[in-house]
Amino acid sequence: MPLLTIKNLTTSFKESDGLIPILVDLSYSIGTGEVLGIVGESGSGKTMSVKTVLGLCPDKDYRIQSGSILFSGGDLLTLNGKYLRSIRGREITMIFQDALSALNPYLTIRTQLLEALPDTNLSKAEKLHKIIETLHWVGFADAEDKISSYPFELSGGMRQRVLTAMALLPDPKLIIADEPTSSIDATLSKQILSLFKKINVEKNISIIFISHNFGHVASVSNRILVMYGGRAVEVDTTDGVLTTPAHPYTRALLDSIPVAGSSGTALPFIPGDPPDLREIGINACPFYPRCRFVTNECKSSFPDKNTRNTKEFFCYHPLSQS
Amino acid sequence: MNTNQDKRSRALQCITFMNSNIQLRTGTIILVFFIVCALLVPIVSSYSFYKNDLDLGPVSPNAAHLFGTDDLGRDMLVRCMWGLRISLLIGICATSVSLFIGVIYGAIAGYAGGRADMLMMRIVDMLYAYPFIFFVIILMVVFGKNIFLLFAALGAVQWLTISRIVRGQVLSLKNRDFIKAARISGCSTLKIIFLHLIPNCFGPIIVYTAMTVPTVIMEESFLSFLGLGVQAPMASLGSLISDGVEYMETGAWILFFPGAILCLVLFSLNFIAEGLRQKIDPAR
Amino acid sequence: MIRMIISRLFQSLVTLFLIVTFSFFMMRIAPGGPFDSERNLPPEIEANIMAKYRLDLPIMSQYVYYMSDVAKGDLGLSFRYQDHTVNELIFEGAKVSFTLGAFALLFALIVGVPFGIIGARREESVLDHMIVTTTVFGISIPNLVLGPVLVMLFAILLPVFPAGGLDSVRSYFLPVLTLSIFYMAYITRLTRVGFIGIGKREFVVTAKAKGLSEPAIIFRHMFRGGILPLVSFLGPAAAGILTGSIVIEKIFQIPGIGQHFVQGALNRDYTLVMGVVVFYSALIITFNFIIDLVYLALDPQVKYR
Repeated sequence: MPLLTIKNLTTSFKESDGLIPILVDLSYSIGTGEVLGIVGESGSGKTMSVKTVLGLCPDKDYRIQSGSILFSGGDLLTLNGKYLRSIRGREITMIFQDALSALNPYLTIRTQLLEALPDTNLSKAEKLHKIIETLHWVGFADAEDKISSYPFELSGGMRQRVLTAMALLPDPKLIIADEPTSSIDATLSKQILSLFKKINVEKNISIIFISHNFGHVASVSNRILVMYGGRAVEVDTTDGVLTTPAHPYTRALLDSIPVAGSSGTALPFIPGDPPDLREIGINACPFYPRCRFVTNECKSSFPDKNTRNTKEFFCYHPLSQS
Repeated sequence: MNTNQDKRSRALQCITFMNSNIQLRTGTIILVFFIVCALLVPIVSSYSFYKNDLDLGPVSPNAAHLFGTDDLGRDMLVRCMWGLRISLLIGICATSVSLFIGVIYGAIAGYAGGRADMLMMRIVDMLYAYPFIFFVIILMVVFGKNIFLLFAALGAVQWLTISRIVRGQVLSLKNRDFIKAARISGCSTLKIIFLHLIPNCFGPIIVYTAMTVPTVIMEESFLSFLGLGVQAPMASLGSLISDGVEYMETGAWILFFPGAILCLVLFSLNFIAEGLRQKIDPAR
Repeated sequence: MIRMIISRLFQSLVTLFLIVTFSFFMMRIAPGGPFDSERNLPPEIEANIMAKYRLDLPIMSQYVYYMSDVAKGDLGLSFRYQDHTVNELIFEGAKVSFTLGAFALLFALIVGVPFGIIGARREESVLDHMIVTTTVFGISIPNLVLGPVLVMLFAILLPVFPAGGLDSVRSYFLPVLTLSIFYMAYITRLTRVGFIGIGKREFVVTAKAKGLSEPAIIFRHMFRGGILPLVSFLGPAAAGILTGSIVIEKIFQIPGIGQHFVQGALNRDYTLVMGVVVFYSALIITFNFIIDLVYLALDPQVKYR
């Protein structure tokens, strides 16, 4: 039984001149103790899908048109505010991209970390003890001294660890990490990535790892989901995606990773622009304007699901297995 | 001929511009209506704004006197329109004074830069939070209740904001190429400030002017209401309202009409200011 | 940070000094004085009065005496009411004016802040639009129109409240209401804008993601940042309430400082007018200084700049 299942989720954003599709018939799931990586370019819907799970979307103009989000036996979309709040921050927690703006500059990290521990039967002293323990566990040295600091007094790496600790404190079942490595340098990224691996292996917590950096995703994930234009286009084990990609977009993403030793050659990239879903519409494969293998059927309807071993993909012209 | 066409299209341009925004449109229509009334009514009407008619006394609005009469038998419509004239006149004159002082001060501070600028702006900062009405009152008390002094005083206390704005603009324009070119070609500092820098600040200056006129009218009404502004027999909307308060029980109309006109004129001016601000300076 | 406080303190004192000096010299330039009555005074009495008001000394000495008196808190003798010191007159009126002003500000805050927060949290809703429109009216109607209108409605047409004087608790209602409406509207707008701005910051989303309740988010996370524009405004607000109360006192016949001030201005009672100006200036400058300190306390990042 998977931990979290998103089923046929379709959402859009209401603008003055119509609806802009954000997620189209999106389905994916994550099991207990698993790390699912989600890759895709900006605007592919990776972040919006998880924000919808937690109900963090600006509700004014965001329309959830159909679908369900199943967690712990209930559909999160049908839950009322109070129940949703009991899951948010307790069983499912989130780590945001930019630690400096994600933390409240006017409050000490101690206050913000205390908030992450719901009013359980622990006394304040016990809570603080647990906080310091967790901070040490994530690699934050002198935690006792630094705990009264304000976010701007800490370095980028320390802030990132604070965010991670905040996500761990309530003993969640699932942690969603949204681009955790996108605003930090390479050395720090390595540390953060091994920290995530540690969280998954030692505490058996599932992680959804979102990034546009294929390399990072691949190093921590068990399975990878590739998203494009608000849709899932391919999902498979990490190995399966890296060695035998089926979707041309996945192939193109893999090709565009610069390889050491290739200096002097042109950098490969994917020609074309991110899709404008209002123009392409939801009855076509959103990748068709940039795809080498495009035919008429790509433009007229989105392909049905296809499977190949552990892989699921949606393409009329999948790459061969060789 | 080209010039005639240009002139006509300029007027047309103005009208289209003022019409472009709902605030501008509403504000301008109301304001123009009031200005026309203020100018025409006293000329057209047979009543005088200062001749008393004690036999008549206060009379509620009727066919002969559309706005009624006040306790001294004077026609309220004419008095209101005169009051409006005076209030608008003071608004425009005082704003001009503040523009004059503020623009020059700000341009000099911005262009001079360095310590002079710092000192000049420190002075502005220190005076900023202070309610200048007190200064105006002192000036009025000391020098008597001369109407010209009134506009000079009111204008003299409003200049702080515009000086800051102009200084900011000048600071950013100072290093542009066209200024450097002017300097190289031997243009005197005075010319640079007046011919090049200041004209390029017109946008914010216009928005500021639109915001200051209603502020000044408010302040003048405040002073006249207290008896420190325009003196009888002249009237401004503020002094009319003050009379209205005194005779509130005799006749509500004595208070109502000047009050309503003041509010409407202020609303229209504020709308125009808001509309202009949205068009010219949307960043703020 | 200490340096900042000291520099602000210094600036405040310099401003106060400049204002008092300016007022002093303005008054001395003016014609008229304590002898504007038509009586012809015998020379000895006239000499006495001149000595009493130190008018027989050269102007710079008068200035030095005045400044040292002010520093000690003595604002001199009234020119008009020759038996009273300016201090007496001011303190008499201050009790009344302060009560009025304090209640007005309090009322404006109590009503304005919650509505501002509600408008911000329910941005673009029908309720929010109603709030915004109401505030536009609130800030556009001048006191000198609003006051009389309220008196007409609630004292003459519907005799619920007295039209003037301060003899009962009820009689405070209309003056306080009139004085507070503008500030209520302005405070609502400022709070609303402040909270909308803060609501867009990412740490608010983090707080929501942690599962915090709406009140916790508003009061623990958004409040300190959201309220900053309002705190900056409190300085000018206090100044405005002081000036606004002058009109209110006239409309409602309330014997506060404002009335003394206006009477002094009309009677050319220079010491009284100057005394009030010095008093008000000291008050405003002190208040602004305190507000600066509060602002510093609210924003921890400022300590390190």
